[in-house]
Amino acid sequence: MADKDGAKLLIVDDNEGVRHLVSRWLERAGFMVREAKDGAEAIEKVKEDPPEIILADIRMPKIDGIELARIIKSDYPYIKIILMTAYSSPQTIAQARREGVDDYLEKPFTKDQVEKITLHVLKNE
Amino acid sequence: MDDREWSTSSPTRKGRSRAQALIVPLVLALMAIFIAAVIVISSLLSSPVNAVIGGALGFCVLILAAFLTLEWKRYRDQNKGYIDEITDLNLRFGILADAVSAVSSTLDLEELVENILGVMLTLTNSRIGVVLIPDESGKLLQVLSHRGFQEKAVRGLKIPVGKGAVGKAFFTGQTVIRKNLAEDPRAKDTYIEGRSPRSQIIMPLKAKGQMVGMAVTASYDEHEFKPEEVALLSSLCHELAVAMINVDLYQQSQRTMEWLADTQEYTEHFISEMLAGVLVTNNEGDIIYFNREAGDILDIEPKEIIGVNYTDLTEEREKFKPLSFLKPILNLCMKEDRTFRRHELVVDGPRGKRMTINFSAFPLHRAKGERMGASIVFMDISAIKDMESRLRQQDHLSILGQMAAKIAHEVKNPLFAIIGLVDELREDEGDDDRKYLLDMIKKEAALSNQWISGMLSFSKSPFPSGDEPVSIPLQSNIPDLINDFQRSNGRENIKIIKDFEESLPPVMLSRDNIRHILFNLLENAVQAMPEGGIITIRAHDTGNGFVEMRVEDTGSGISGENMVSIFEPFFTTKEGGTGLGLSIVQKILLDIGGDIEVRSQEDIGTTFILKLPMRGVSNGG
Repeated sequence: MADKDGAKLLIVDDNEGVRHLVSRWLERAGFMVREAKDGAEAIEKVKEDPPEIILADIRMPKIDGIELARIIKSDYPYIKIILMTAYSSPQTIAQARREGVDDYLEKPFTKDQVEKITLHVLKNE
Repeated sequence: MDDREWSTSSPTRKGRSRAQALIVPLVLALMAIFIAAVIVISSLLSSPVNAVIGGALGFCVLILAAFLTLEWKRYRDQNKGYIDEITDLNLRFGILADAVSAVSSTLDLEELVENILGVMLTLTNSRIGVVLIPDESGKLLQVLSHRGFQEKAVRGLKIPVGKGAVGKAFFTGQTVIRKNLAEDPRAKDTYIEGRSPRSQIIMPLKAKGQMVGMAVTASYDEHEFKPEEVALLSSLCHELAVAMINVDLYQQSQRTMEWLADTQEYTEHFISEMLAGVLVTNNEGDIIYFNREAGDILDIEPKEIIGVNYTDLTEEREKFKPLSFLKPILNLCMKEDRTFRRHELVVDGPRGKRMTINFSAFPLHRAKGERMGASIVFMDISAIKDMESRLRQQDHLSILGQMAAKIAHEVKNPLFAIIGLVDELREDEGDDDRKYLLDMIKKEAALSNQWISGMLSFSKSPFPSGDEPVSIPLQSNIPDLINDFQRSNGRENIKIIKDFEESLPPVMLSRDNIRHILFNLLENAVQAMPEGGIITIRAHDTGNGFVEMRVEDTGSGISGENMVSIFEPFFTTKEGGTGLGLSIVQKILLDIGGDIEVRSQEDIGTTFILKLPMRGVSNGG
């Protein structure tokens, strides 16, 4: 069981406001947070320094959240992935689960909700 | 023709005139000799030789008497043959008259041929006879009627035209008399009497230049076919042929009549049963045909309209009001010879119902081109039009849903960021006025988010994940939902009554959906009754796989113009309403194979009628 303090997170969202907000909340909760603006940048950052958990938006240009999850899980199966979505059909959610996504958060969510789910995913490693 | 031949060829009349010519001068000559002798003898009576003369005179008288007796006998014998012949001819003419009478009195071909064949056998003193007719190909002769033959010998017998005595005679059309016939080795199996006929006459059945068959009679003795007998037979055969042609014509005309009657019956049945209204007028414009469907469409009994002139179909006559649209159409057909093909017309139907009518109309012409009336064929396509409009609306909703999903996603994301970031700012803010302003920003953003969430419902499956349709017993489920509604949205002055049919079958719906539907309709009803009122929820099994649920209120009702748009997305009459509530209710119901309609009267109330399926549809995503 990893300690919350010092656990490394990567927040991936093409919306700067969302990215900044989620990073701010989780930093304040004691996580070590980095940000990526899309899937490609996320892959680069993972290569540099693999995090414990990636929180990524589902809908992103070029490499979307599900594709990112598939790539990361094949190279780093131990990295946990939480997808964030403003709206997704049940089929998209089911596909995400098949790609090994650990959990998902429906926007709008609160600081408490994101912190709780992140901790939950981290502890269930 | 036969009568003439018959009279000129008669030898009997010649015989009679010869006998008369011989007897009369002979008798006169003898009488003259006798009178001369009496005068001579009377002048010599006084002489002595009186006795000798008297004796000679007596001898002469004796000779004369004997001569007269012989002559009388000869004359009588000759006369007797003549009388017999007259009697025989009378008999034959009687037979011929009977035959002709038979010919003219029956139209049953087999009965006719049977009768004539019998007459021919009597005339020729024969016991074997057959009548043959050509088959459909005209190349084979088949038996129509026979006498004296064994059934098995003639059954299915076919004689090729041009072959054998009969076949050749049919080909040439000549009468053939055959005498001294050779012994037939098959006679035992062919004839009832089992022996060979000795003579035969083969006659064509010919009339109006047409060969219709052959008649054959055969005799067991050497029959002399006298010319008069042949003439009589020929005349009989001619009569038979005429009759056969007439019977054929009669049967053909009978078949045509039957076919016409059948055709008329089929046509009438077809028109009366067809699912389109049909009206026909004669050339005077009187309605002579108006089928049942026409009556059903225009709500009038066909018998009330038959005989009415189309020009009387006016709005002024209350009964004919729904039919008034027919008058101008028929007018154009009758007066200007106009034709209409599949035109559409919106008319005021029975009881003021707006109807879309599809019609074709045309003047009717006889083959010669002369006009005999006009006809109009029409259908009420209101239901189809309604369905088309619903489909268009559904299609519209579907496209809108897809668009909404995209827009919603793009808008929700920044809204989420705005709300979150404003929250962050507010947390660190000490100035109350600035805190209030931040709260306002958050509130407005939250309102936008709520609106967007409503729009998103369009693109959602009717069964969001974890909310699959289940069997919902409305009897127990609805009261719980009503209680929930009353706790959150209820008002003191509003009463909700449940009136459900007992043993109501469950419906297939997701729990979220039934809640959404009911809450939406109840909310609308409450808002329509600001002064309070009664909401009645009724439900019954329609018997065809659906439960019909009605939500009735006693509110202000919906105006006619608003009724048209009530299910349209973003249509709202409420301040701050999204205009999506009823659109979503309709979408959910259409997606699961159900339906919703609304009936409303201003100041009386509104009723929403829902069709809820007992069996769900597959979740198509």
